[in-house]
Amino acid sequence: MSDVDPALALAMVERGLRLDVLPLVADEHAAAALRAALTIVGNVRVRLEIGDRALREVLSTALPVAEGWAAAISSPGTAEEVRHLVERARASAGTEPVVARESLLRAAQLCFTATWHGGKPDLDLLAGLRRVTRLDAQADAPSIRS
Amino acid sequence: MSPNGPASLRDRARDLGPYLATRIGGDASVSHVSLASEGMSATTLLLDLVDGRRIVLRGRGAVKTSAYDAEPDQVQFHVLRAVEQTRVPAPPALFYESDPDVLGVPFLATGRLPGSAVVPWSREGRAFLIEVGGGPAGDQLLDILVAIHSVPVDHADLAQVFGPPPESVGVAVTRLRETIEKNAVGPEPILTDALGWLAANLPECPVPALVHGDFRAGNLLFVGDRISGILDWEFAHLGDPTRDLAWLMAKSNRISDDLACDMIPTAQVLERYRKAGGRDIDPAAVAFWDVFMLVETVGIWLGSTAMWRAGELHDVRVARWTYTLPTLRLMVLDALEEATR
Repeated sequence: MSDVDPALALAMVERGLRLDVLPLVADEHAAAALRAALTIVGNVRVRLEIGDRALREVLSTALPVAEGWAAAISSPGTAEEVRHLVERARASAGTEPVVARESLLRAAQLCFTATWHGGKPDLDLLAGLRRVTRLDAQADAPSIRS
Repeated sequence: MSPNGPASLRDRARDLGPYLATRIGGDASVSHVSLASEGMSATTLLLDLVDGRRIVLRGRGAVKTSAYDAEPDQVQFHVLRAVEQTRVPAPPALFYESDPDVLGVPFLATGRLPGSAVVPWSREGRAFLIEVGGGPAGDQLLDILVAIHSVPVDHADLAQVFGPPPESVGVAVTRLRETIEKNAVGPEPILTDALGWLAANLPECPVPALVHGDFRAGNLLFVGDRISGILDWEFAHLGDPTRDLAWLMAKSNRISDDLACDMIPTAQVLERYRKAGGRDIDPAAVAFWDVFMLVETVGIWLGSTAMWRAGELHDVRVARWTYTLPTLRLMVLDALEEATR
């Protein structure tokens, strides 16, 4: 079985559809759908090219910030849940960055809910949470081609 | 060809003459049909009739954008009737057809206004908006908005579809939270943050008004350098008129740094609105609605994605939208941080 890099394979499909197929599609709806599909293929390709590298970079910066979240939560039950999620994120960051990211974002979501409860947030906690959510969103956003 | 897809609707519309004659009278045979737009919430068809009349059919799409129980196009029908006697250049409502067998989907029929729409994101569109915004269209824009906000909220048509105006903006935030929670497929910390901030910063709206809900350059028609029409009333509702001003000034609706909808200086909008007869607007309320509408946009996109996952929607554009969600989340965070600065 040949070992074709998935990103390269997608690039070939994308190029073939764009250059060889799209010019022959006369129907305006079909052409619009094909262009949209090409954008999707292109985005998947870019994601594959970036791989887990960007995600690992986010985690290495975000995890030290997240270590302090549980201590800032007043509800013991929520604090314990946040502590557990951050610990799981830290443990899986090296081997399963996608799982680590999910845990980290769940912890952030719990903290946001807790800190906005009552309408007067802990501003230091809020700043740390937003720093992490911005890092995560920025890591996703640059690969977007709309 | 999808049975309710745009091409099918276009084909069926060609044979609607006898039906249309029963609704609008005269010889309503259809001489030409063209597809004006193909949105998620509606497909818009332009019909030329043999007797020279020109009408617009707006067929229901797969995505429901109205938060009200009535069909979105039925809501639009009554809203258009409510603005008919005002100076708002809205398409005249002809009728609403709820029977899906007539066209394939329920639809709204309106008269066709003169003028052309522009694509605000194109270089030509932006140049045009900057030019006309510095002329009469700039003042007209706010005159029209004031006229929309001045429609009596107890008008019979509005009461029929909306009921009494909501007592608090909190109702809208609760509804938005429910939409996000229902459709999110993973953790959404940025949206949770935004919803928390929105709930803690509800603006007061002592006098609710008719709100257009999507008041931006892309929904305007122009004849020469003047605005000839306001389209797309699907988000219309009773509530805080500040929402329309926030959307007019939103960064997501302009390319310019300082021109609202690439037409008029953002810094002048509230003052010019007041001079046109509008009420005093609190800038903090503008910031609230700016965040709200961005979150709402994410909510609509998440809802479409959920429909796609459930097999209820097959439009490939949904997948494309999903890829742009991270950018939208960043925009929410930017607006949130600007509002709390």
